[in-house]
Amino acid sequence: MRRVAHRKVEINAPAGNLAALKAAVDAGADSVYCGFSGPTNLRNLPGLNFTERQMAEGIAYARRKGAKVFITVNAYPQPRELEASYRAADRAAALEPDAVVVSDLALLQYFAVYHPRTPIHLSVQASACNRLAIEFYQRHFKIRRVTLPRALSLEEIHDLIPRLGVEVEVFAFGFLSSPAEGRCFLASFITGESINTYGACPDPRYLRFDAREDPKADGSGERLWVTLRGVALNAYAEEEPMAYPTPCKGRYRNISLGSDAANEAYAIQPPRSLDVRPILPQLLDTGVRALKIEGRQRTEQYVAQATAALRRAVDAALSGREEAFPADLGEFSEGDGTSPGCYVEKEA
Amino acid sequence: MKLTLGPIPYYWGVKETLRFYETIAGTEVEEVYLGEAVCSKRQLSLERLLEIARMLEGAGKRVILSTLALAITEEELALTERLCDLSYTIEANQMGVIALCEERGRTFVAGPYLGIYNPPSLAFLHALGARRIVLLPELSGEVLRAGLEIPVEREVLGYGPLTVALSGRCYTALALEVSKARCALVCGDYPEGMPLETLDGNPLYRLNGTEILSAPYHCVIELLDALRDAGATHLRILPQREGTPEVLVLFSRVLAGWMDGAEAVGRLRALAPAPLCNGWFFGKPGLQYVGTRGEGKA
Repeated sequence: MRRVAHRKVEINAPAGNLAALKAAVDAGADSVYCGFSGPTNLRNLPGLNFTERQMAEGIAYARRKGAKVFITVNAYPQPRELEASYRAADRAAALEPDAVVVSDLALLQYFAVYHPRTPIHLSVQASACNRLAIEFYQRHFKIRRVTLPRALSLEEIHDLIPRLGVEVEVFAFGFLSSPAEGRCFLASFITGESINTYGACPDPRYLRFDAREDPKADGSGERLWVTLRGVALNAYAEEEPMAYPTPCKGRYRNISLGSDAANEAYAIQPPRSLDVRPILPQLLDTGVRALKIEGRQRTEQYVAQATAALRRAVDAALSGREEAFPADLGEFSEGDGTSPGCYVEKEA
Repeated sequence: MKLTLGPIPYYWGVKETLRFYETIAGTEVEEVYLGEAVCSKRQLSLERLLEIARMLEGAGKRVILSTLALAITEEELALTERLCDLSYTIEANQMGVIALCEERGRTFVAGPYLGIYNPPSLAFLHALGARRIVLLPELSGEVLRAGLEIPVEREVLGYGPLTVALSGRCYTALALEVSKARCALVCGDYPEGMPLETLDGNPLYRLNGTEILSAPYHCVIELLDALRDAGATHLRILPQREGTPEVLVLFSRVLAGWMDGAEAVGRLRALAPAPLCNGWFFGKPGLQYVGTRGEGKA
């Protein structure tokens, strides 16, 4: 294994609450990202996210331990949410975080005009995936960092980074899907509530899990049906591994190939989680500045263990140590295990 | 409101594409968006594109060139840049294209893939040279009515499948178990994509190469008054393999006040390759259809 050129690689961990923030910092995260409660950031789920006081406490805790905090104000506000988003921007800037994470043009402008000293990271939701688009945001809003959508291969990232004047962050662990972030309306089409504006994919109040007879089954008995606002996302036989209940991980019938059960498939994304550890040396070799762990909705145990595991893997890769890839995060992965995602599978 | 013809969402191959636009030349639509927004492998050669553009101009149409919505590589950017160097108006479908137009001091049409959800974002694009916005179909009528003081033309999707996801991966290749790198444009075998049904048999999505479309077709033919009130100036019809001229005629007749929306929608149902939907306009699930006689008209 070769020694990779870039010594400074940041591990950016998610925090849905103060306990998770502390767990991430204690486990070796260099930075933590988190947002305020309400629809101004994109993990707007019940019981999740920070009050101002918690955010201030989180920032103080992280700073004491040498870690950074990025505040996400990354929803796309519709007109009626604009004022709340501007206020969230003010509250975020007042706490002097190490950066804010933003995607919407109105909010980017707002930060640039009213809070010019607050560093801006371009959220993955902006879906900026080429040199010209990233330069556009850099020129107009002085972004310091971009998080790339999970739509680029290793080779494409390798080609892109030397052309850029901003830091690049990529997803390293957690939820894996193939639609480009910020350009996915699969759930909104079913629920009427956009991930871009409401920040939950999908809203749990629309999900139902019920065991019932399969109307078209071949006498195989009951299945556990997962429906989202009445639309069937999946149906599981007993002991079948389950996928996350999002439309991208649904099982559908591709009727161009025939309408029988043989054509029931994960047509968009198989139920696997992202884990880049098997390709970490190559990924670090592209010059990425930060590795992001997905999962502000996850437990503090998840945050701590994913952070610690990625920390060990990065340290090993940076010192050129050959390290077996452990199966230590299995309990945090989806039914079908892990995958290096688009980085490797894009052209496959 | 004027009708426009959006870019072909699918891959039909050169011959079929030519045949399609020859038919379009004989229709009354005034503006035609040409080019590829989905996958760079499907892009017609520049020569072929210009040949079609000139043929349409000869028939009195204004041509606008569409661009890729998810351009990633330098090769894709170079392709896009060549389009921006032509004299046609450009539909910018990602921010990099706006950068190219800014550089050239050119005005542009802001396409439907830019994530524009509020008036200040639209005003920002207007300041950079956007003279028209193709609004995100996800926006409700209430959102459309905001920011009408910004002096841009407003185009809304009138009829066709909705883009519900864009991706780096190719779903058609995945379904057929072929590699994306050596796909040989297999999506060409599915001229209206590959419809997906839920396991209990309801049409939901439609695989279209690196894009996922809705299986139902979005249709606003019963909402034209509401759209006019919301400031819409242009109505986009998306091409379908058969029946596009008939769809254009139906919309023209309703726009002219010769036919009412409720009658037209009955005729459209016969032409559409799928059920209709328009729920997003009402702030409801996109897959629902709300008609003049339907439930809870907003």
